Amino acid sequence: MRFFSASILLSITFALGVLTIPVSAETFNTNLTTGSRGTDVTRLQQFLVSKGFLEMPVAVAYGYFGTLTRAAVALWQVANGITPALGYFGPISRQAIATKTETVVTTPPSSDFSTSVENDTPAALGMRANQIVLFRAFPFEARTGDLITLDGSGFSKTANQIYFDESHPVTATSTDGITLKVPVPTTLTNGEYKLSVSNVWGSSDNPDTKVIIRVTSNPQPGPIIESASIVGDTVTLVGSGFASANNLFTTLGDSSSSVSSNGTTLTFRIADLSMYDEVRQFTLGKYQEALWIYVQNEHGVNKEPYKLDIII
Amino acid sequence: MKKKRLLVFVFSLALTGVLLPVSSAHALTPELPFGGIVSSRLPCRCSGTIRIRFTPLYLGGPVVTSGAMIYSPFSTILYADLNIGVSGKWHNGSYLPGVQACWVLVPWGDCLRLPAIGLMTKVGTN
Repeated sequence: MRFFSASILLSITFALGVLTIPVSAETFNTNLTTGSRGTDVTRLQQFLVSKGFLEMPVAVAYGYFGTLTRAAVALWQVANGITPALGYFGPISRQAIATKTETVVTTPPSSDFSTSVENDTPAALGMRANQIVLFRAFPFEARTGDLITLDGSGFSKTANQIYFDESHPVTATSTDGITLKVPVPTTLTNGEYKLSVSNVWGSSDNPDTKVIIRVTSNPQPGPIIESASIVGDTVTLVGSGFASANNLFTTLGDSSSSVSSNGTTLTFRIADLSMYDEVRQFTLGKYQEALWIYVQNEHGVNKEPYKLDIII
Repeated sequence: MKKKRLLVFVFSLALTGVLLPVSSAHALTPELPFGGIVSSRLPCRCSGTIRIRFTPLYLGGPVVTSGAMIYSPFSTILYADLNIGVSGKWHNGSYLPGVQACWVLVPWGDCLRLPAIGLMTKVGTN
């Protein structure tokens, strides 16, 4: 009986001991943020390294609070239930670090092909991790209060700020790190707005890209491709939302000039696509492959590309 | 007595296993083999990846096709001779089918996703 009790007690103690490991309290007397320097920053960085939230590159000296440290603080905040987890080491974080029994990270950040489900800001498969990127917003035209969907990578599961022309911030969370659903602020007037998203990794702002939506009280749906067929080298698209002038973007390149439409039907020749000749010189008309098609006009682009099997 | 102690020991082990945290198993998408000759490449400027078209493209079955795979400098393991995306070079390796990782910059300023057969996980070239 005594042996039985002792065994049970030992098992429970062992399991609980693995689950929680009390840590010595750290005290910080000043708030720390990007740009901070000094011994407090060094101690914070050493603390984060010891807990597995920060990996300092070999050539980088301790003592400066930069983007790496901010990101590590944000991850520590997420792991310890501190919101918003934006990487600012303020009074709440200082209090928490001084008193809490913490969860110790035992698994290094994943760099394999599985999505980092433990990570607050998972990158899309194949994309650069630890970076926020904004690809597009859909639909292009929307009313205030309507929900728009943003596609990107590195969105936070706990805190993202979405800006419309660098103002009118909206906070939103992402369930998967690659999409965000955002209501168009009711404070916006009709017009076009450039979007950007900020979180622990910084801002998605990029001089090469321009993700724009048009706020209007009468939004028009963009192109929708319902079916497509090919006869010879002429493709016919049937759908809705085609304008009098449309641009094509496909996996064989784009159209060299705008393509007209009566609103529901649009035709073009695949030989007129910009990469057709380059691809055809290799395929010589012997291969079947998928042609993916986007149609763009003044009211937007189709949400998903349309697939048409062709012989090229 | 010995049998009783053994049973108690086994029970204690089982109890420990129940109380310990279970690490979630990540279901890995199966990787499939591919091989082919590069016919063209397109930089996916928004995602930082490369869409490489192969003609012909062998996917391990009886059908020889033509199509594109995505190379990611962030996740694809590149082997010798490192001639990734060079026209006329053989590429052999493995890929994750259906994984889309190419966003291209379009003339009107945002990015569109260009589908491909999959994302290369490992690739070697001649």
